[in-house]
Amino acid sequence: MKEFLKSNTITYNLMSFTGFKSLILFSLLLESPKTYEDICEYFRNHEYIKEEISMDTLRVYITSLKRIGCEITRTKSPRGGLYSIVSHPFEFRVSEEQIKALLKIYRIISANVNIEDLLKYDKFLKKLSDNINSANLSDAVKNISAFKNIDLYLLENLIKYSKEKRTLTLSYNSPKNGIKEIKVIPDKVEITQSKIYLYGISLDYNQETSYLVQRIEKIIDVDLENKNEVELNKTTVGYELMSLNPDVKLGNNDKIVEIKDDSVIVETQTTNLFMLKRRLLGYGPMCTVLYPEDFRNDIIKTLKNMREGYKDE
Amino acid sequence: MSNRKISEKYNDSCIKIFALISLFSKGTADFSEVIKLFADDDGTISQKSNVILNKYMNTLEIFGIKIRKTKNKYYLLSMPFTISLNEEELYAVSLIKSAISILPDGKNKTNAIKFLAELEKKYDNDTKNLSKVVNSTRNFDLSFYFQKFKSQIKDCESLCEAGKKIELCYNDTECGIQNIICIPQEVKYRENLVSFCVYNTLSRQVIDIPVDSIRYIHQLNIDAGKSKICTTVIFKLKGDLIKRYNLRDWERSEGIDENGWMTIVNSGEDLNTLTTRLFKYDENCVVVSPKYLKVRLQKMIDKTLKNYE
Repeated sequence: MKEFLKSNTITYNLMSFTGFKSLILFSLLLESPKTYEDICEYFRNHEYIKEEISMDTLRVYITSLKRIGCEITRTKSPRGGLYSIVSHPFEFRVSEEQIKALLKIYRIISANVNIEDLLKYDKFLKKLSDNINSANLSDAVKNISAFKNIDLYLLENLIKYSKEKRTLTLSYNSPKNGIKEIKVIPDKVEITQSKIYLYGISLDYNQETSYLVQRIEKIIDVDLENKNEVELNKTTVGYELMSLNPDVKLGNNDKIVEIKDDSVIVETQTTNLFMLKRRLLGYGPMCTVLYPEDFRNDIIKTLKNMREGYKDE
Repeated sequence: MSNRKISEKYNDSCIKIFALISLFSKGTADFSEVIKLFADDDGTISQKSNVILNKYMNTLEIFGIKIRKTKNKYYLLSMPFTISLNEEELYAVSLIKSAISILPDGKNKTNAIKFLAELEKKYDNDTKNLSKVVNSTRNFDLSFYFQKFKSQIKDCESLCEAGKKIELCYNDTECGIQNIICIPQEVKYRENLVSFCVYNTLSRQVIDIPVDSIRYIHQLNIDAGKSKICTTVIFKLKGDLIKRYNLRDWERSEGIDENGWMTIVNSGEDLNTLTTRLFKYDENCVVVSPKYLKVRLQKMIDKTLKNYE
């Protein structure tokens, strides 16, 4: 202990100088691995310490830090032995129980927020697990992540261009035709049934469509002028929905046009009857397509074909 | 630690300053606990102990560790080994806070709050300042459920933690009142629905039951056990769907047969969700087994067809 520091800024005149130096050494090694020379230089230039330490003193400090639970290694380097702290007892740690809670929250967030917010939470957990060097948290996040096998840079660009409605030329690995170029005016990126889709208007087919993001290889071109104005052939479809349970989700273009005692009549406009057909089939017996006639007949035909698959039952 | 290392020379001041930090790193520390570190060799607390403690407190303060003392208790205000978060990351923290606000009391809520408290203590100054301006209001629209079913949700969460089997009675939209013996899995919070996910031990199905359809739950004095073998659902796909189909994590493909059908083996998906999904695949999908699911699909088709008569 020695009398120390009398300045305008620091009013304390008594402190543990050795304790202070060990704190400085500890935080110095936390920043990055250091040689004995690096440490001496830092101590020499420090505004309060202003003196080097001997190699013997450094060893004493290192031994002391090890005693308090630090794992310190010394590795060879061209500049001499490099001291580094591998772990220490003051690290931010996340317990197994806390990981469970964070995963529970992941599930809540993934079901309640848009993809951008989920991406922020996902990235936050990944950064945290990297920073605190937690393999358990890292593994848990990898397992639960909605963005497994997704190029995050590409995804972020797709989200950005969807907001700006920029016409994109994409390299797309089509399940049917393999890799091909597609032109699309993106509308939104969403998670549907655990998969991430880009929704938008296909300029190759002039209709609304969706692309699995995992199949998008890269963005080839972005039309910054955004000149594309597309004339879409929209079909108006009416359907009756028997009940509006909380888990029934209407489409973005759907409008309730009539409310009956135990059902509602919904009208929607679509450029992609295939996608709409799938959605309406998903409502099961709760849904009856009312018009147009040819779409209604198509649904009936499909249902009859489906029944054929179970003719033995 | 090896004997050789223990026998090496160390510095007592160094050990003491870190022992002090270790005490404070828990967030709060009693004076009686702290002063013991500076007791005389015989263990007595003397005036000298107080003087030494003051010196060490000064050292910590000069180093940048802020501690407040109120009524014989020390409170750690900031740690030197900090975490720096940017605006996006702080927004993620605000999402955690929002999720906590809808979690019922229980282990998850307690642990999430503890995590946040410990994390916030590690913020560096920039992060602290930024956290004051980042929008932290984010409400998940579950108010309907929480007004009406708050205690039910809390009960379900507790049952998930209890590790016991339960008898559950609920109203199924298709099959009416159901009474099952099952193992609680988790409470799922979706955009506009809270459901209780359970594993039916008899049918070996995972079922998501909306909390508002639960009539009663009785906890049984039978351990839930760890093994969970779910019913395997086998279905076939054909046509373009084969190329377009993306296998879920809980599925595997058994290849394509001579008639062009691809067989998929699915295990552990909630059957209601799966049924709705398979129904969307129209005639390009046929369930092979189990039989009750085939019958269910067939009934669904018949019922839907009736809408058009």
